[in-house]
Amino acid sequence: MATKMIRYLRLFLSFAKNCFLGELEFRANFVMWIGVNIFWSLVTLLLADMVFGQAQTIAGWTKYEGLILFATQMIFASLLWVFILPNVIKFSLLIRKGELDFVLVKPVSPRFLVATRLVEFDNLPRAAILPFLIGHFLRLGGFYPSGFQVLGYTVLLVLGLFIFANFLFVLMTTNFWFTNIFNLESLADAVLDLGRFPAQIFTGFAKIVLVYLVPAIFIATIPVQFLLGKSSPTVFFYATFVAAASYVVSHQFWRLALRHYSSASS
Amino acid sequence: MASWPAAVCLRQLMMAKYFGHVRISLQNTLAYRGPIVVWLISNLLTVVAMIFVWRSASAGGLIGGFTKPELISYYVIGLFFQWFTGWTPFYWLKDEIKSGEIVGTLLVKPISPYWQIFCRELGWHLVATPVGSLATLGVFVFARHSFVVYGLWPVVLALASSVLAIFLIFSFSLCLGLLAFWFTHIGTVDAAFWGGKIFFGGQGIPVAFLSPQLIRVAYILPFRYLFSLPLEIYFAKLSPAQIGQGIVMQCLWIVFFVTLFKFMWHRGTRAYTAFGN
Repeated sequence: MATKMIRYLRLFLSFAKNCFLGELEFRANFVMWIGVNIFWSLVTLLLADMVFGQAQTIAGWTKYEGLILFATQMIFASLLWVFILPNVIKFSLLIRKGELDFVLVKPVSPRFLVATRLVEFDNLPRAAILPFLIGHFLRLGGFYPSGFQVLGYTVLLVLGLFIFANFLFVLMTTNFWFTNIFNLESLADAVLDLGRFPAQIFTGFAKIVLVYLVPAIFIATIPVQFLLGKSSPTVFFYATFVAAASYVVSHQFWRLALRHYSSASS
Repeated sequence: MASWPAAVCLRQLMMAKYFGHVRISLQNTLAYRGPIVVWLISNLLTVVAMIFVWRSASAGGLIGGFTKPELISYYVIGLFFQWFTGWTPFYWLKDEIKSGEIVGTLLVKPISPYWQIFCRELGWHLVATPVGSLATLGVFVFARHSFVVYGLWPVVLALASSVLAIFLIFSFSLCLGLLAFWFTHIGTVDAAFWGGKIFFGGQGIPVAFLSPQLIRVAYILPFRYLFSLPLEIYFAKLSPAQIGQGIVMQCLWIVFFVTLFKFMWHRGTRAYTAFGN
C-alpha cells in the first residue's frame, strides 16, 4: 500500500514538473497571468469592501468577517485552478477526441490520471499571498484566533477542497453522456462564486440546493466560521463524513460511467 | 436602367451570402444546446446569489443611490442585458487565427470580415437571447415582489442604448481577438477586458458604488457604455441631457473601435502567415 502511494506521488510530481516546464516555455505569458490573477484578487476584495461599505452587515456578517470570507474563497479557488479545474476542462476534450482510450490502457488508475495529469502554476502566487491579507483583516477586525483555530481552518479548507473536487469529478463524468458540453468550468466558477458569500444568506429551497446539495458551504463559510470561533469542533466530524461520502459517490459514478463508455475508435 | 436589375441581383446575392452565414451559425448553435444550458445555469446562480445578498443586507434607505428593490431589479434586468449584449467573438476568432482556420473562413472569402463575423454571432444570439429572456423571466417571478419599472420610455431608451452596446462590445471584442495576429497568447487581454467590465462597467456592482474619482474614470473608459449605461437609463438615474451624452459616447466609442478594427485587420493580414489551410 505504501509502495503504491509513493509510486503515485512520484507520478504526480513528474506531471507537475512537466507542466511547470511547459508553462516556462511562454515565460512572459506565465508572469502576466500571475499578475492578472493577483490583480483580480485585489479588485474582488475592493468590490467586497464597497458592498460591505454600503450594506454594513450581510446575514449578520460584518465587513472584516466578509473580507476574510472573500479572501478564503479566493485561496480555495486558486488551489482548485492549480490542481483540479485544468483536468476538468481537459476531460471533455479527451472524450470528444477519443483520447480517453489511451488513458484507460495505462497501468495506473484512470481516475488518478484524468484527475491529476495537469497542474497550472499561475494561481499559486495568489494562493500564497492571500493568507497574509487574511492575517491583516483579522487584526483590523479585532480577531485573534488560536493556533488550534488556524490549524482547524486549514484542515477544513483541505477537506472542503477534497469535497469540491469530488463534486466536480461527478460533473466532469457526465461528459460520458453529454459529449458536447465543453464549458463545465464556467459552472464550476459560478458555484465557486457562491462560496464568497455567507451561506446564511440563502433560505428555503435555495438553501437546500445551493448550500447542501452543491457543497458551497465548504468553500469558505465553514472554515472561516471555525477560524472566528463561530462553530464548534464537531464540524470536523461533519466535514470528514461528507468528504468520505462524496468520494464514495463520485467513485461509484465514475465506475458506472466507464461501464457505459464506448470508444471513439482511436 | 439596364444595370439596375443587375445591381439589385448583385445586392440580393450579397445578402444571401450573409444570410447563409447566419443560417450555418444557427445550425451550429443548435448542435450545442448543452453548453447553452450550462452557461444559463452559471448566470442564474450568480444573479440569484446577488439577490439573496441584498435581501439579507442590513442597510435601510438608499444603498449607493439605489433602494433595495432597485438593487434586486438591477441584477434581474442585468441578467437579460448580459445575454442580449454579450457579443464577444474574441474566443473563437483568436483560436481560428492561431490554428490557421481563418484563411479558409475569412481571408479568401469575398465578403466583409466585420459583417461575416457579425452574422456568425447573430446565429448564436438568435438562440441565446430567447433563452436568456426566459431565464430572466424565471428570476423575475422569483423576485417579483422587489421588481421595479419606471415606465415605457426608460425601457425603450434602455433597449436602444443596449443595441448600441451590442455594436460597441462586438467591435471591442473583435479588436482584442485580432491581437492574435501578433501574439501567441492573449488570454490576459480577455481577463483585463472582463475586469474592466465588472469593475467599471457595472456588471459586478453598480457604477454608482464607486468613489467619485473612479466614477469619473468610468465615464471616460468604454466599459460603462457596454453594460451600465442601459441600466442607468432603465432606472431613470440620468437626466435627458446625461442620456444624450451617454448615447453620443457610445457612438464615438463604436466609431473608434470600428476604425481600429479596420486598421488592425489591414496590418494583421499583411503580417499573418499560416499553413495547412
